[in-house]
Amino acid sequence: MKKLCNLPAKPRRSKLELYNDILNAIEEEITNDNSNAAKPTRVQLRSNLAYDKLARYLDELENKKMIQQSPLLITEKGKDFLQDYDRISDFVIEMGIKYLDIPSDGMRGV
Amino acid sequence: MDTKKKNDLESYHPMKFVDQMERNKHILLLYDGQKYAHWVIGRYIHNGVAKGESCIFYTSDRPEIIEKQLTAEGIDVGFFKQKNKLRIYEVERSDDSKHDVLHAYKRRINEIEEATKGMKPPYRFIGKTITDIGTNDGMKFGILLERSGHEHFNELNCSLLCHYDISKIEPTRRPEWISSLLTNHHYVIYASEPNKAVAFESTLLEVEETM
Repeated sequence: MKKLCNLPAKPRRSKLELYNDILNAIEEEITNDNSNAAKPTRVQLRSNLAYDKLARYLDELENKKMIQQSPLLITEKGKDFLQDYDRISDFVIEMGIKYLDIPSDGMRGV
Repeated sequence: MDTKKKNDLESYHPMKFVDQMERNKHILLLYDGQKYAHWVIGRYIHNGVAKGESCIFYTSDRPEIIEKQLTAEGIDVGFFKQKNKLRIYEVERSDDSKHDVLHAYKRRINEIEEATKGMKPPYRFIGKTITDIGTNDGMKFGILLERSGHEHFNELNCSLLCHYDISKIEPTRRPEWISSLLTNHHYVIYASEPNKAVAFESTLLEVEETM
């Protein structure tokens, strides 16, 4: 079958990588600008996310108490996550796994 | 328990996560050293009885062995057994129903009902889903059973910690098996050397499209 166009593959990141990118972006924004809060638009640029996706992940991170949104700040739990990131990444590498693909029919594994 | 062990336990990385786990979660404990697995299991049960939950340990070993292990982790087994807050429930070792997931799943539900008779909810279980994890057939069956359990997990109204010795998992497809195990649990705890041990929500490894 002929390809209709050569669209670049959509970037894929695990939630682990996304949370890490966003939390790092918030922390860097605050540290580099020596400010009290991060600006969402700057965090969006740094984490390379569409704005609607960023808004969704910010809500998720707030529900998990890793950030607060008004003003945009990283919490202690968020800092703990950044410290855990390397350990989780090492675990993923050691186990030889990458992503968990969950098919749309909801059937998991095997 | 001596002071050194107490300090080692407190500084062991996954413990904070174990202490903060929510109720009614399906937990995967992967370990490559029994010592660290016992630490996590001990803490999991300790937290359960401290919160007033009823803890049930499924085992195909002799219950005395488990009692000894739990005692070594600082749990007053006799006291909690007497209070009906801890039960060590012996299950048959064989996986004779290996090719019939539905039958095995129903048997598991019956075992839960049997094991919890006279105890008060909420329940906190621990056990091995399947004993034969060293063969393709055994692991395939184990994953199917885990999947059935995970899909209906909310109906069970309990926490369940399933433990797997990584070194004994069938080696040729190990990454695939581990990936499937993670997919069918809410939390994963990797009980290894202190510099590698970690615990996290398994959904963190789900792939997302970001643009």
